[in-house]
Amino acid sequence: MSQEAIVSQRAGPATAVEAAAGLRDIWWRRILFVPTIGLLILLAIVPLIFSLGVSLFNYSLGSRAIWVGLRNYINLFTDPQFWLATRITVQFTVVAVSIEVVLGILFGFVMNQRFTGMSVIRLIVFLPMMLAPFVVGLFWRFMFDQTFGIVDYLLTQLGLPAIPWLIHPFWARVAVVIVDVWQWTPFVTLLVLAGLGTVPTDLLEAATLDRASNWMKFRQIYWPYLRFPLLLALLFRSIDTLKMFDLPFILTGGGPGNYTSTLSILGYRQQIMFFNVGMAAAISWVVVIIINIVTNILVRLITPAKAEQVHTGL
Amino acid sequence: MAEVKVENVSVRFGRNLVLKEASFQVADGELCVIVGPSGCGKTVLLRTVAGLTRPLEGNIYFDGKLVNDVAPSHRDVAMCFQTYALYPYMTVRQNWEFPLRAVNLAKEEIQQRVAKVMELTHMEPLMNRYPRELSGGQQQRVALGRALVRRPRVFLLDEPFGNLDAKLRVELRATVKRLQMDLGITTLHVTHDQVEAQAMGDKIVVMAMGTVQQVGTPEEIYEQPANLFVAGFFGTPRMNFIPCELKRDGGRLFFVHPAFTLPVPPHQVAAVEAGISDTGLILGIRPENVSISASPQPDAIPVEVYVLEPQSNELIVDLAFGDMILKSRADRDELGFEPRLNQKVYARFASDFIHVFDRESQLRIA
Ligand SMILES: Nc1ncnc2c1ncn2[C@@H]1O[C@H](COP(=O)(O)OP(=O)(O)OP(=O)(O)O)[C@@H](O)[C@H]1O
Ligand SMILES: [Mg+2]
Repeated sequence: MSQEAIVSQRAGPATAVEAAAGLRDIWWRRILFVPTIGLLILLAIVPLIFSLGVSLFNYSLGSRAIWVGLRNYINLFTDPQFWLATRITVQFTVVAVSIEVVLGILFGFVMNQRFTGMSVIRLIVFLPMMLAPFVVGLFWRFMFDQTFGIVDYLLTQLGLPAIPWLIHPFWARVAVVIVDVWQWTPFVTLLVLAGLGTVPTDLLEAATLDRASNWMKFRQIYWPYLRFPLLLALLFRSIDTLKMFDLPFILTGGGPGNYTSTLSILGYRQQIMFFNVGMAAAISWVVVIIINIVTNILVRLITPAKAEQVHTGL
Repeated sequence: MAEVKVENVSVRFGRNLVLKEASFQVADGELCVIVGPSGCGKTVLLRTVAGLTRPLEGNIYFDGKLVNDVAPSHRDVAMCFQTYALYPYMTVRQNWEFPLRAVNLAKEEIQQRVAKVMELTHMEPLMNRYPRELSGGQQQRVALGRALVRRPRVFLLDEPFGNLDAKLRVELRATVKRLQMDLGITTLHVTHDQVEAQAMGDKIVVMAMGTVQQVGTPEEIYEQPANLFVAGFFGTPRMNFIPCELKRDGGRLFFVHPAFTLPVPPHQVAAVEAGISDTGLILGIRPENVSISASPQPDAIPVEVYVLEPQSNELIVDLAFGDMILKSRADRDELGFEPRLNQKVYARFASDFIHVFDRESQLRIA
């Protein structure tokens, strides 16, 4: 069968003129893709391949690049600094994202209620998300200050010991998590709210009349509609925290020691302080690989099993 | 099980008063059918009884106890939603088990109840399907089943047969009626089908435009319709309405129409005299109370056969007189002759079955 015949068949009852038009249409559509694909190659793929290439060279800015093969990666994997940074990055991600998701769900349900003043509350709750991380880092650094900070002031007012927030290896990490949670829980809340908005009211009414407990309602009625938004939230938040840079950089500068140095901070130091572009590229590739693995696991985990697939409209 | 009392219930949505001072009472164990045309407020009424919609004013009582402020989940009602509201990610079986698991019923009891309902609704081969894999009628049976597995104080069934084929509808009508009787659970059953209402109800509540038109047994509703709406709503074909004047002639009362003059039946004279206003009246007569004959009879009206509609053993005859059409319904073998189109025949009203309504208020006079 000629292509023309196939086209006309697909388009239903068609005259030869329409079939020819259909064929032109297909080519036209393909042509329209060309700029997009071209741009994609230029902006995404070329730098990616370039950085992959760079990671195989010993290349310091201003000097000649020397081919070292996998030497950058080998150096990296034998460097305890790298393992510390990896551990810290994963720690931040697991702890912060878990807290954000749990709080996000709680806030989502609370804010899904309708009462007067809710729109004001929503605005306030979503405010942190709208601030630049740089600003957030600066004012939290001030709040965590041991001498002038409001946090320790409040703690001592409550009769609790002041905490050496930004200078103690453990508390510095807690501080980073607190600020990340503060800033990004609203984002999860927003997605949870979007999911809650897609739950059909008559299902909730039916479950109410069926006298379902709150847990049954959550698990059986709400959850299928929350899976997808939560997957999105988890993905976005995980990817973001795995790349986390600006918050610890401003809040603690990666210290004390290297106890809040994420992989991104490590890579930044390699490039900016040691001019070791090859090594920095290698680190960024490790981050890419970690993100890829995590993303894949998450998608597998949370993609609804066939049975629970519902059309959520999202 | 409970006696349900609805007292002056009004519901407003925005500017629209969609339920106006509805009042009626359903005795414990009674099957009450709520019937009326689309959009008359049946679903709203049911949702108000369930507690899902808050009334603007008025009270709902279960067993004499005011339940206005009792949460829907504590009213212990089972509702079959008009929209089905099936849990989309549960199979038919899981949908039915859900309300039973919610109250921690014993496993064997759950299985027994589900099996029973499965049998009643003929869902055996479909138990493991998801709602989206079912046809509209099948989904509706799942919705009905999810109510019937329960043993609540009140069943609220919102057009549970609306999407079923005629055969299944008639069967389930009897099934539900029998089940309801056996269980003795008070039931509010919504439909817009007058035949279903007549067939099922111990009591019928007729609604139109957000108001209750009449409450009564099927016989009362059929034999003494409270107004023109109720009279016209029940019966197929619907009741004939003939505008008439009233005239007194030598101590006797007559219905006067340009095409005929009929004496008011003796048992109605007093009521007609008492109830009449000067706006005129409407005479109502059901098609089965209009008999036709080929030869003149006393008090018969000369008419012409306009349309013939055979229906199994019955014949519906449209009769033209003046500029009006009068419908008659009779068993074919009791007619005594074979009417032909355009034949001149004589129509007689069974005097015991004449209904008289006021033309202005549309209310029943006699
Ligand atoms: N949530 C709502 N908001 C606004 N108006 C509503 C709402 N629910 C119902 N109505 C209005 O109330 C009136 C009665 O609706 P209802 O659903 O009770 O009709 P019904 O008798 O059940 O009709 P049907 O037989 O078509 O189901 C309608 O005019 C409808 O437009
Ligand atoms: Mg309805």
